[in-house]
Amino acid sequence: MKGFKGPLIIIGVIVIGAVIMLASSYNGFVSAEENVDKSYAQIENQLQRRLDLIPNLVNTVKGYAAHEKEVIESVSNARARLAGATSPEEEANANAELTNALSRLLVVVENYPNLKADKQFTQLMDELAGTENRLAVSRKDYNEEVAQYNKKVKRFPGALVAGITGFDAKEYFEADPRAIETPNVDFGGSGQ
Amino acid sequence: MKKRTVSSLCLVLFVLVFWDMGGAAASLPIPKPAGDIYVQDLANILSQQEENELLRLGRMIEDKTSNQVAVLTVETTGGAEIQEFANEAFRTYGIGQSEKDNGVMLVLAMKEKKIWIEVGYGLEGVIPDGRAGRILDERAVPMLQEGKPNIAIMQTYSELADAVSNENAGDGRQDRGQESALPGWLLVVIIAAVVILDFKFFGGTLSYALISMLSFGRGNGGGPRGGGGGSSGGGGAGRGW
Repeated sequence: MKGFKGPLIIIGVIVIGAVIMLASSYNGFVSAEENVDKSYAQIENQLQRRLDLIPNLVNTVKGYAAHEKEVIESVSNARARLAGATSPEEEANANAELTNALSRLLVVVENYPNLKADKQFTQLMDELAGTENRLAVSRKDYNEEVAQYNKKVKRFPGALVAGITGFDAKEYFEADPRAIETPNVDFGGSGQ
Repeated sequence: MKKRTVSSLCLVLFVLVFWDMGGAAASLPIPKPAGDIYVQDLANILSQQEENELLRLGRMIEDKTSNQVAVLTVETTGGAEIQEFANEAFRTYGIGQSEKDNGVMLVLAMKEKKIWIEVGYGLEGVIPDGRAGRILDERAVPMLQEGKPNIAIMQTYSELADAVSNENAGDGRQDRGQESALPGWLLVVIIAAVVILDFKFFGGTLSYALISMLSFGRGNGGGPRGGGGGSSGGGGAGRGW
């Protein structure tokens, strides 16, 4: 009888430890997934905000530079594509395209000093730059959350639990490398 | 013999549970804050008198509204974009209260000649990007171009202070609940076990060290005032000069 007790206690402790670990890794998935979803919602907010700003911007630019049709149209088209995108990858690509179109628009704007001096335009550009920066921040946050989550799901022992309970690895918010052409609304010039 | 087995098992459990808990390390060289968080003048732009004035203003605003207004000046961002640097610094310092995110921070990088206003989530309604840009255009850029960065800072800071002085300025922010990966009771049990083991074997050294680490930067009584744990999501505006 006495010989049994020691090993039994040890086995008991190990079993309890394993159960706690499995349960806590399951809970870990749930809250990590929650965080991923929450930070994705932030990205969507910012994308939506960007969508909302573009028509105002286009109208303001039209007021000063109506005959720059081509570039204005490319912005409007890219905006429409972003509005219609559904998956994170599509959204990321459409967003990168919109960024490109906008940076071309900004090059054109350089030729219109009156437009650049317009208060409304300055404010819109600030809001657009701010939105882009928020987008960059929320994309970074989202990708960090996804990395945390994926690490949990893919690594041992989490991978075991994840396999049983149906937690899959998640997609990063990343544009196709070919579509990225580092954006950056340059706010450096607009104050002068 | 048995005691040792139990305690080493506990140690293994402890290590396993906390293995993954380390957060992502900050990637940018954000300077360590010194003194009250409101003024971090690492580029030495302000005179002592100016700095004291801003500190007084910062304390007054926090006492009245719990909003935090801060300024950080650096020689260089080390190659990072100013807005990226500002966001990282804002989050590292935790400007604003954690449940309200009601902070705003002015950041200057002298070498890059860039200035940025980073607005915490909770103040985005009071200082939208357009307003932040206008404040910079009116109060900062002209003075910066004249080579008077100290005046630019004083003017911009007081403009920001005005903007957030309304007592309700930082309210109405939904909280971003950070859930722990562990159920609460388990955390309590583990902490209790660690503390007991610590007192038994190390005379409590570990516990005391932890307690002093936690209380550092929190005390609003005697020591310097730190950030309240607020965060921002990249709202704000910037200029070059």
